[in-house]
Amino acid sequence: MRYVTKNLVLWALVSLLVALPSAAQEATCKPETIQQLWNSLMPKKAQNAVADNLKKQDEGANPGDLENDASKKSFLPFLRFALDRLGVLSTDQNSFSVSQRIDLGSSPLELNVQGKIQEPQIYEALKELLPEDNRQSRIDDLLSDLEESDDFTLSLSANLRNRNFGRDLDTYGDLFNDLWAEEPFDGAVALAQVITEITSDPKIPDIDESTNLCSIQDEAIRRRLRNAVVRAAQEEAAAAESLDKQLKATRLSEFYKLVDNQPQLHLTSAYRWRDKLLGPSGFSAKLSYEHGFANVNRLRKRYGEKVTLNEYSDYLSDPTTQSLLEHDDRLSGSIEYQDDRNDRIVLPGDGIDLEIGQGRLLKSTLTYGRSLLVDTNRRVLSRIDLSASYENVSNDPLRQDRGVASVTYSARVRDPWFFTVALNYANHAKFLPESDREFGAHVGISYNLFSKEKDN
Amino acid sequence: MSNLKIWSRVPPGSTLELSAQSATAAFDARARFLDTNETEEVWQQEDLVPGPKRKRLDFPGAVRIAISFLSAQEQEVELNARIVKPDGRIHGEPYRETFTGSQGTVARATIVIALQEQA
Repeated sequence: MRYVTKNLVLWALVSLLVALPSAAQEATCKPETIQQLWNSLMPKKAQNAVADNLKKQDEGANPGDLENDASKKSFLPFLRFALDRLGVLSTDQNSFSVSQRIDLGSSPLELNVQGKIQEPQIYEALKELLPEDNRQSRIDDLLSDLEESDDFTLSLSANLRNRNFGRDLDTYGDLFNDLWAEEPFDGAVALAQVITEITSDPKIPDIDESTNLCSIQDEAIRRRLRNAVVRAAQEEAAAAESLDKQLKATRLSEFYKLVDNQPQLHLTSAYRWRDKLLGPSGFSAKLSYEHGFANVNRLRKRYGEKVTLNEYSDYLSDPTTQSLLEHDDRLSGSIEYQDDRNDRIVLPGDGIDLEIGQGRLLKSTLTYGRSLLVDTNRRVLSRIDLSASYENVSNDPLRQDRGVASVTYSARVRDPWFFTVALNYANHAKFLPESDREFGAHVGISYNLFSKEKDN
Repeated sequence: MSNLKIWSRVPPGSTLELSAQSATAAFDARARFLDTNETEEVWQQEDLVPGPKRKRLDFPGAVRIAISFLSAQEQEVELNARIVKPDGRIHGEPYRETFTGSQGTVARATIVIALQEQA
């Protein structure tokens, strides 16, 4: 019995000794793939750090939040909208439209064609002539005879995009490259070399990012591979963090603001077909120009075509540039032409005989705008816009040429409420035979439905 | 999202093909190639989009790719890479990854290419 017990103890000891090395290996090899190891060494925010910073910088900084921002006629949101929804139908409460971008290859012109059906609305001048006592019922009667498609507009817009015009971000890459090309990159190459050497042994299976490190039995080889992965991953993580810091330090993340201030030349032409009860049909065209004062063209003018990162950083740090960006100074101008088709609305039962669509209008407008107060979050608190326009009317006996000047002051009272004062002066009234000179003032409080603060 | 791709036992003389594309996004793609023979190349947007940028592989090396998103709205950019062996066949699993980001985001990916050691 004693012999049997002794043998059992001996057997147990031998079994333990045999099992120990494999148990030790199990204990030291934590199952993980190369990808998992790589990811565990990346800072959580490495991929999104830059985006997060930009979002923080931009929150509340959109000058477009301020209503009546007359000089800031940025076409970029529209173009982005159009680009993002190529040929997609869009609808709102009162209209239905379809737009399609036309690809012209390498042409500097970007074309967009749009068809739009608007909900019929009786012509304002006609409404005024309808008998007041049953006006609404007459409007309803007239509308009931109309089709949904009785107010249709076909428009073609062109936007000039080349090195000096338009708001492409092409040049961003050159500046970004200066930063990025300096990052150390030896670790990943060393990893390639290590894997090449390891896999020269035919007993080692192919290695890829999904390889479990524990599948490599030889501890020395496994450790060598692991160390190479760790070195490469740490280098990548450091490079990502360094890039993030440098993007902030050099203000490269603000580059898009310079792009947003680039000159824009935009032409829109449209023909609107309407039932005459809805107003005159006719052709219209508008040529618009806009630019901000701190932009890519100015940067190139100062430093030449090839701008280094240091030069860029100097330009952004210049107090004048900072002031122009902070106050979002913008100059815009437009020339507008409208030629309505002559027609006549005759409603004998209502005693109405109204001529519509007489005359042509040529209107030119120049606007300058500047944000006056900007808070620490770079939100625009108040803005002023100065505008002057001249209207040249021909073939319309009821209207006359006139010049109009206006000053519009907008202030954020308390989100989402805004206060606006507009003063207008015209050297002639719009319609004859009213007084020769005309002053006007409008004061308003408005509510911004899309205020960001409401969401917070 | 996988921002690491490793190929091993790539036959020398194979070709790396790398491209980036997006149906809607405005983006800037850059890639930096470096190998153990100290060959260093920077591939620009025009090399990669629509691409593919082709690079003959004679030494172990790596590629670091950075994609800067430029659209205001969040958009997707697809990165594609594969190894074409000298006989024209594809080596291993091609790499295809979609990165998402908006203006200011820089997505990064690393490709490690280990070669088959010649006897």
